[in-house]
Amino acid sequence: MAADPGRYRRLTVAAARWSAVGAVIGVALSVALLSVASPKGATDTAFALGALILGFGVTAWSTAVGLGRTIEGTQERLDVSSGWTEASARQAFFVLSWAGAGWVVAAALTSIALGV
Amino acid sequence: MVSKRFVAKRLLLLGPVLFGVTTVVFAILHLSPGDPAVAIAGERASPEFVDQVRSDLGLNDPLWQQYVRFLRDTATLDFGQSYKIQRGTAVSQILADRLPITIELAILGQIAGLLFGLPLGILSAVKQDTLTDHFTRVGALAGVSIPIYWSGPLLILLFAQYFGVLPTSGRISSSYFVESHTGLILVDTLLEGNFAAFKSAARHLLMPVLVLGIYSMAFISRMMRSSMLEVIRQDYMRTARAKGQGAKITIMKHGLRNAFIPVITIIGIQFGSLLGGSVLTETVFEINGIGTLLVTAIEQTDYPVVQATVLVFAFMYTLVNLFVDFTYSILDPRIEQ
Repeated sequence: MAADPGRYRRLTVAAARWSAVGAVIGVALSVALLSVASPKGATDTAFALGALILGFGVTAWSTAVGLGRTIEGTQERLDVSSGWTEASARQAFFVLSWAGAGWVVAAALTSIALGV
Repeated sequence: MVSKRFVAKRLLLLGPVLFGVTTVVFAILHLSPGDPAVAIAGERASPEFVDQVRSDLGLNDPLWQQYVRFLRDTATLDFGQSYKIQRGTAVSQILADRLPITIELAILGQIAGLLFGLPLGILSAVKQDTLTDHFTRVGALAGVSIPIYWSGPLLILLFAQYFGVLPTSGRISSSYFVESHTGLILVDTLLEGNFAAFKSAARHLLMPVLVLGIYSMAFISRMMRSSMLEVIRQDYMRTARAKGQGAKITIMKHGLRNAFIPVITIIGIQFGSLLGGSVLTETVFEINGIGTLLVTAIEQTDYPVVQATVLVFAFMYTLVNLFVDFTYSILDPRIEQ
């Protein structure tokens, strides 16, 4: 099957977009938490939350890629299909992974900017 | 033969899974309440000593620096030392001691599940809509629905307390001493040529294996039934029967291999449940595998042990699914496409 040349471009643009969204959340959360915690506490918490999103996204994305078809087939065979598909899962966890990546990088940069 | 491209693609997926799990574990441990420095130093330690411990562990560094350090150490399989469970002992050593115990339990549970699940699934499909089928299906449903923390104590009550035929806990009677060669108690007793010890170990393992096996068996039989029903309606099965081949031979020779393909994938997914189940089973039957290690490490906030144990679980699960993928592609080469 020939590779779609526009596909990588679309994926790159989507990754950049969701990383930017994650970065905004990372910075906003770090700044918001400053009102209730020290600079280290605020940026650490923001980083940990971003890492949670990133880790969950990456794990779920790779599971969807590796086991997605199996899960679809199992649901079909057991007649318990919930409308879950490999493609939709991959897409959703792609968004989570990149948003999480942007989030942790932004939280780390905020901690450096705050001199933690 | 499995193609190199397929193997490479599957191996490449190992990286993101392990990275993701590592990150989640790190994040959860740092978001959970409790201070590891206080956990190590003790509740009554002076603030100066707690500060010293915190500084020694690098907990004063920004979290992103700790994360980078954690990723680097994990990549080199350096999980650090246990804070509490076996203070000062390398976590990798603790895991090496405990891992074979859980592996033995999970493998035996899986074998028990296959031994009972496959024939029951085939029987249920061949005798569709008969009393046998209904009985098997209800049994499978019950097996899937019964949680391990309920079936375990129930079996202990029945076989250990009421009938008194099986021991309640442990891996072997305390009257036997078996030197560890492989860490697998059944194998070690055989290697020592101590058959009385082997019998004792087998009796001790019977209930935990049964508990794990029931859940696995229920899922496998359900899947096997559905898969076999699909296969026995195929033209090639009818053709084999029309040519005079006996029903049993047709099912065993032509049906089983094709019906087995989707079941194999279930075994991989199932193994994850067995590992999760081993945490409960080991706790119920007081077996010192990595399941109980994880529970104790969480209770005692021994962070390095928790992190490493969860990673080992994830690695084992991924590895089994990798193996299942390869088996699947051998049985049905179309899967590589």
